[in-house]
Amino acid sequence: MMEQTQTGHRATVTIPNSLGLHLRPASQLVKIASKYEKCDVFLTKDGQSINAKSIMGVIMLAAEQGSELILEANGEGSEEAIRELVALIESGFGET
Amino acid sequence: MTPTAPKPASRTYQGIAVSPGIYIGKIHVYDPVQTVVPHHLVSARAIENEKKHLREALAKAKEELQRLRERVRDTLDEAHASIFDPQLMILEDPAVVDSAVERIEKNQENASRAFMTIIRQFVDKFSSVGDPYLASRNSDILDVGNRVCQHLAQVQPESSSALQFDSEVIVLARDLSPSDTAQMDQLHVKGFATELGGPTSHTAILAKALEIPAVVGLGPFLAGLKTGTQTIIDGYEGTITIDPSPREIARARQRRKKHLVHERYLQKLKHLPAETIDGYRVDLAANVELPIEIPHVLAHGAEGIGLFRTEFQYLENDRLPGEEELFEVYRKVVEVMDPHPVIFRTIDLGGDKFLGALQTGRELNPFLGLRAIRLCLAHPEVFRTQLRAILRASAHGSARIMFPMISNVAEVRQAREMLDEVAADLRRERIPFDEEIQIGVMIEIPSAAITADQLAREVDFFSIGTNDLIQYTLAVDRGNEQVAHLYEPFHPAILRLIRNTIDAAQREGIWVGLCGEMSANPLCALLLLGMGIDELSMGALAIPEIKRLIRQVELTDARRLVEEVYSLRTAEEIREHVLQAYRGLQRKRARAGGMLRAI
Repeated sequence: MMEQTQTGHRATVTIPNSLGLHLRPASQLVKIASKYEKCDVFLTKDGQSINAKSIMGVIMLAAEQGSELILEANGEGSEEAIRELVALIESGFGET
Repeated sequence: MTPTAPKPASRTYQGIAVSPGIYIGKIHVYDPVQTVVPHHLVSARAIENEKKHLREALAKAKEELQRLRERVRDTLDEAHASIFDPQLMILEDPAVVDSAVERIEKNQENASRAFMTIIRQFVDKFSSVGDPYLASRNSDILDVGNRVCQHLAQVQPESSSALQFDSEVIVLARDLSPSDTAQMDQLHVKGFATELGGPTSHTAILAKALEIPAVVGLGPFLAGLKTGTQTIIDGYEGTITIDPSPREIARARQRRKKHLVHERYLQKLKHLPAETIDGYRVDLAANVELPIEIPHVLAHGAEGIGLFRTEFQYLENDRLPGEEELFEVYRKVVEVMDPHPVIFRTIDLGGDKFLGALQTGRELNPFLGLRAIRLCLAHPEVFRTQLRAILRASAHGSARIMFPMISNVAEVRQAREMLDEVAADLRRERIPFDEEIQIGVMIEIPSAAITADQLAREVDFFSIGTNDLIQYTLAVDRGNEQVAHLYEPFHPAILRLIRNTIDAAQREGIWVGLCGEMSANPLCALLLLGMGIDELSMGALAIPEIKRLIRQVELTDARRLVEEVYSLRTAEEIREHVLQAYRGLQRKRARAGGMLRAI
């Protein structure tokens, strides 16, 4: 569910694909987040926040299947950014 | 060297043989991390300049990686090319680039020092997490760091120049990255040996494609080795011998000669059928682990792929491949082999091959656990994706499907039911596939061999998987040195199970093949022939040898041999009896002046 924040938008998602955020999904996620140049996108897992435009950061999260992630976007296009990222994650990155 | 100078003893290292061949020559020790890049501090005025250098180096590195990516896409395919994507993303990663810029600004470090420090921080973090997956990415990340630093030092990255040679060499390295192998001087590199790596590493794949010997997983052996040292690489035995003695060289030459003679002989046999003197024909097919082996398979005269192992796409990237990705590989294989059939064995993970995505719980007894068909039935979506890909490929040539680790009829029915559902979906979507596709099962569990008559009514063919059948029947783990000697293909129980399976298949009118290592053993093949096997599938290298054997014998002799050994009680007696018979047959042929003599 997406909610509005003071500076942008936020959503909580669960990683559905069985391998979690490994290299390929991580690069898909970074690719989308990077499209929103005027918007900061963050991923938070277990209190650790990282820049979603950083492949190293996303891999470092080591988010496994079932882990809960908070997506936050602040700035221009934040609603669209969150919507697109949630759709990507919920689709399981095209994996099972 | 004068004759009196003491010559240091040669050293032989054992690794994993991943590509056959023997080469004797000079080595090149490849160490890409050893480039000298100046690391120092800069004046405040030079800060802007350093930032500019960094941006330029990043752009150059990116250009270079993109070129490599294209090259791999052109020579292999998109899936292999995408190996470079994460490296490309690192070059644009703000956590890397911005942090490096920050170090230049705040600490007045020069660009290479700033960039490499950041790269090393990530490598250290990834190593400390204790996740083998993260740790395995480190060589890719370091590769990016080195590439950028080499541009900063305005030298050509070593990987584009250092792997070009004037004369023939064996390349020795700790590990070879995709970019190293993509730029390898194919004319002069005559072998690879690496400390790391396994049978599915890039090194292995490339070496097989180039048909040069390769040995991987040698463990630490590079320290102190000098480029130019004479070395033997033996891609049959999986060894390298540094600074060999004249005797070792002579032996390697002899072995190489033997293999070359064999190669020539193979050429002669290639187009002849595997048919006994009295006209009984056996199909000789190949077991295939990676698609890149296929040219090799055809070169050895295989009349099909009797076992196409489908696990590599799951293990290579440690993730579940999508339907399209699977389909592309399956389609190509089927097309290249057409009109010969390709038997796709559905996912056989578990046992000793694991995929984190599917196997979460630890098993006390993985070989008796959630393996192969059991795993697939427990993950219907994964199974359906694969079945769809195989069915779609069946429209492009001759494909067959084989279910591994079947232990009872219910499993076959369940698997077939899923296959029917997938087929119905395809019909609805008007996607073509072979409606007559043959469905078979592997007979590798004793219960399946014992109830072969019942299973035979459910399927179109059997393939006997003797490696597992022997382990399960004799309760022997071949990998356990203390009991490995009990692993015995000539055990009367094994021969009876195989015979029972073949008899049941014949009574029910289905064909039966065998795809374990027994196929490649001439003595076993002789017995199997006598039992009435229809197909033998083996590593492609063994095909000519077995073909020669079959062409030298009469079916009636092989049948008699089966009867003779049936009453023998020990494996030793059986083996000895078959060996004597085999020698006798060869002598008989030699006397008869058979056109094909033993080499």
